[in-house]
Amino acid sequence: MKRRRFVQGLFTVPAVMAIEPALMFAQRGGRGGAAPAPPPEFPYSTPDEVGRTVLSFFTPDQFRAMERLGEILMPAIDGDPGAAQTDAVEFLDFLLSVSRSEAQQLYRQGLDTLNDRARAGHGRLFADLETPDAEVLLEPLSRPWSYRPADPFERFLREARSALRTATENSPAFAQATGNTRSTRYLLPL
Amino acid sequence: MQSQDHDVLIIGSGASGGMAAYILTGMGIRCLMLEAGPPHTERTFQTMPTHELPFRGFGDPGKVPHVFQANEGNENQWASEREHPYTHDPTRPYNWVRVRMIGGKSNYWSRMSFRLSDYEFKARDFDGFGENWPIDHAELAPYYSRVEPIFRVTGRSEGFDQLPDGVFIERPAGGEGPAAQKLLGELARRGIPNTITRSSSGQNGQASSANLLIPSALDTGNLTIVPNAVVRELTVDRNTGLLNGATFVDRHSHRELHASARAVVLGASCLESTRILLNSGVANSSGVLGRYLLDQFYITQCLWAVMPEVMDGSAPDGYTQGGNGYIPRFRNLEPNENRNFLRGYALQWSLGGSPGRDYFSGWGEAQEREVARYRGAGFTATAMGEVLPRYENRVTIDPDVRDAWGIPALHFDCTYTDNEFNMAQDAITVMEDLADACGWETITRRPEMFPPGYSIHELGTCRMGDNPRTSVLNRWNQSHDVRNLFVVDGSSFVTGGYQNPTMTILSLSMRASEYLAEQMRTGEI
Repeated sequence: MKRRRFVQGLFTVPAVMAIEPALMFAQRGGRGGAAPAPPPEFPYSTPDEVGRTVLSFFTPDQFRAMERLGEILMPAIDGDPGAAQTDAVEFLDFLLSVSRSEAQQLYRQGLDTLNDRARAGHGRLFADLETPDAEVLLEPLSRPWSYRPADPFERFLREARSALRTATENSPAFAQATGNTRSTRYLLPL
Repeated sequence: MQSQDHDVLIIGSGASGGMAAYILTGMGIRCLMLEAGPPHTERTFQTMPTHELPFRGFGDPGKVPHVFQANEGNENQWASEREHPYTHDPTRPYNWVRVRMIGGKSNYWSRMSFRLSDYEFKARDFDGFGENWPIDHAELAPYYSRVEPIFRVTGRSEGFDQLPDGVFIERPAGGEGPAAQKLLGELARRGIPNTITRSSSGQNGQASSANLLIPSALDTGNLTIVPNAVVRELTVDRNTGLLNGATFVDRHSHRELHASARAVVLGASCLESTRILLNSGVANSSGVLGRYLLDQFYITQCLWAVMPEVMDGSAPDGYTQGGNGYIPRFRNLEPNENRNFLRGYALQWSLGGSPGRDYFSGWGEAQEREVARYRGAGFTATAMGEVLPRYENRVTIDPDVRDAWGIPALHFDCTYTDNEFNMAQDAITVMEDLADACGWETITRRPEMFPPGYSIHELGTCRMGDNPRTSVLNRWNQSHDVRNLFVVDGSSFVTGGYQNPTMTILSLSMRASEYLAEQMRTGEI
């Protein structure tokens, strides 16, 4: 009995489709049918609310140096969170992982230079320096601005200072903490 | 379905292609327009919290890395370099900025609307470098005078030889506050000219091919537009040696098709047109197709100075009012000025802006305090300089790289030289001198220019001339080699000047299209 129903099914399904294939799409509103009800609005969450960025770009030493750089260059000010409170470095790890090789090289070499100079001067990694000692290594940021500094370490520091600020201020955590949500007019794909 | 034959195949729907359609259809000629991009002419935005953007405002790093004007809000307006790759030596970058949609780049241009002068058309006569155009301003003036009213150019007639007046919606002088008056006084003392920017106001806030040209062409009933049609190459009738159409690829399905026509008008933008010609293997008996690539070098914010009297919010109301202007070329207008560069540059200046945070040293709260002190106290300018046409600056086909439709990509070999570098340095010096004279403190100088192409004014590579051995097109934008081929975009330029080129492109396309129509009427084509 069961087998006969199955065999009947094999033949009846194509027959129904031949008569009225639009029935298969009836939920979209077929000919003469009523307009479909608007879909319900679900309360979605964002990826940052449920997950942490899986790190892939910085080495552990580079990551810690970048975090320390964020604490100094983009600290919490007047109650607004800084780089450390907004996972800015985690986001930059992702961004650099999909960036051009020139940008990747600039950050890798810059962070390695920071650690090399910290070791040479203090026998420790940059992340482990006291703030006054760490700030001495950031002296190139006190030089007058130039479009493309000849010193790649200065170029790295300037890039990092700007990127840490953007990553901090455009983070979900910053928007939540300050209640000051920035918005962007986003041109939809053509 | 039976494919339709058309009188003229127009490739590209931007300023030049749109003007060709506007003229030709109006003269009763049936045109087919192929546009590589989608049919959108409106810009549809969605306001989003920046922290919800996929790249949090940084933009997708691999999408348009050469488009310095891009940000995550507008990055979809530019042609993605993933689909539209091109190559250059890593040490010699070129910023090729493209828009693919109905109306092309004319949907997004800055609307700066200037004429070239005989300092550009007859540049060789003046300084001995390069070649003259085969035409002069007087010959193109009647066409400028018809284009300007279509685009509703606003400006102020000044009588400058180096920046011919046009048919303007005149804007009266006046309205400058004390800071601008101080600057204008210093300019006058030095004999440096100044005017207001000449700009296309268009209609309903838009001045593009898509709203000023194509609708009229469609109204004639003589225009057929096919969007999403990526032209691979032009095709040649072996019996006559003339073009008989083009093969194109459907952007979505990648299906290849052929469209036929009696004549072809290439208006795909300077370098896309040249790429199509190079891939087609036509119109290059001179060997100069792809050569003499030029543009204008732009240095945005080439100098920042601050007005001490405006710092810390101390300026009276209206102090920086009317604080912008345009200084047309003022160098090398006389023979034997004995400078370390040929030709000249323009400066578009503004007062009352705020220098960006990156210009200030330090970090954290100390840097914030400095930024706040200088807010609204800035004086800056964009330098826009002429780039000499050089044989060595060129594009070729890269045999190893193809776009998403399998069409070979361009390879760029283009650099600026000391002439451009020295000119840029002169611009900085002039700006700093003006700032000093006004009592304003210079805080940054930037003589370094962006890579070639940054101004989005790529020109040349298919230049016009009277000599078929040294030029690709004749004085009518018509191929020397193939008489039913016209190239009407910026690729025909012999020199670029310092002026934004769109009015000249539109005028040349108008002129060439009327010539083509006459050739078709008389049976020459």
